Amino acid sequence: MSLSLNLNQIAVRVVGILPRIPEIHIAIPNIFQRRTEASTETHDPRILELIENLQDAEVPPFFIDNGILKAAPKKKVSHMKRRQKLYGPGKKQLSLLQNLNRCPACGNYKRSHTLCMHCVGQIRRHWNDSVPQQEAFREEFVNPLDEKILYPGKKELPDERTLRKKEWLKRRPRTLPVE
Amino acid sequence: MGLGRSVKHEWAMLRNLASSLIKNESIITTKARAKKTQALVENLITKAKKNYDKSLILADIFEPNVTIPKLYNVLKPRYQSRAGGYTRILNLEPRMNDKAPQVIMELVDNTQREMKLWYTAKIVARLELQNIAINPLTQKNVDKLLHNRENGEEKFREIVEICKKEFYSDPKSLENLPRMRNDINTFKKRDHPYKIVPRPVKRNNATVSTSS
Repeated sequence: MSLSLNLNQIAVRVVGILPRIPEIHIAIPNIFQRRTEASTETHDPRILELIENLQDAEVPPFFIDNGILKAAPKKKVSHMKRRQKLYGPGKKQLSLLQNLNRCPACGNYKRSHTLCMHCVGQIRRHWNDSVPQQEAFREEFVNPLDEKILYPGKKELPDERTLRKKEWLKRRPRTLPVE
Repeated sequence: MGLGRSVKHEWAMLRNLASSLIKNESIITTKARAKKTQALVENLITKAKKNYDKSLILADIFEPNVTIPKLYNVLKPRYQSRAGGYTRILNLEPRMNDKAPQVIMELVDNTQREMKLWYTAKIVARLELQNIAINPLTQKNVDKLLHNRENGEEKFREIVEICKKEFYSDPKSLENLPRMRNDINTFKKRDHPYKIVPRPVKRNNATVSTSS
């Protein structure tokens, strides 16, 4: 018996067992070469197609992303979870006022360490009314017809009358009386 | 650089507020602005009391033709007996639109528009119409308001009469009686006998009298 081994055969077998390693190419840029347009080989062919379509067509195509998906939520947020997030925390809810007093001047509720807005409003209104107002200058006419022709007057429409009341303004509601 | 604006803008705003406070004796602003103008106005009044040259005050004020004569002729004699504390800040409810905290800022012992005087006068008028004795807290407030004022009692009685006529002509407005514990306006606090003790006066040689 001979102990000679067919080395060639073994080598073939070993190589066959090992996984095939893909070939690696590393491109070393040539500094002296003049820079040309970026090579188009490395791009995804779908992107190239998209670019061509966008350049050619006047109107952009219906599928703009061309099958390339972006990040998106996986599932719709359920009714319960959404409401838990938006309205659950106590910080976001209205809190009750604990700092309440009785206004000694009108007997209704007011915040402590503040003035009652109703009484302040009353006093300020009295101040403004008690200021003597100058009368507007008024021309005197010998013939009243002249005045009628020169200043025929302005008719107020019903819409204008309602606008003058300023009903759209948000007024501060009066507080309740203390029992 | 405060109140969300540049230095010049803020300074101009404070000058505006100070001059309008001196002119009208009472303004409504937000709390932060009032706190800043308070320092400015108090400083101006002390300068006037110390007879500073008017050219030094000109930099801190607008409308000098109106405000500077008022500082020297009206406010200086009025606050001769006071050592600081010429202004007062009263809290109001937050503004309807943006919930900014509002205040009334007014000069103490003023003759034009003093909200604290009128508010206490309104309380006194109500208690008198309801035949209820004035409680110690309001009595203390009245004494505090009047003890440094010229003809204070007479003016206060006038305002009380106006309040009776203007605000309580409707009998419904007097239905609600005070039902608090010990007839105070807070719910839990107990009543205390208040007494006003004047502050010790500073002498010229910078020694504070220790009389209690």
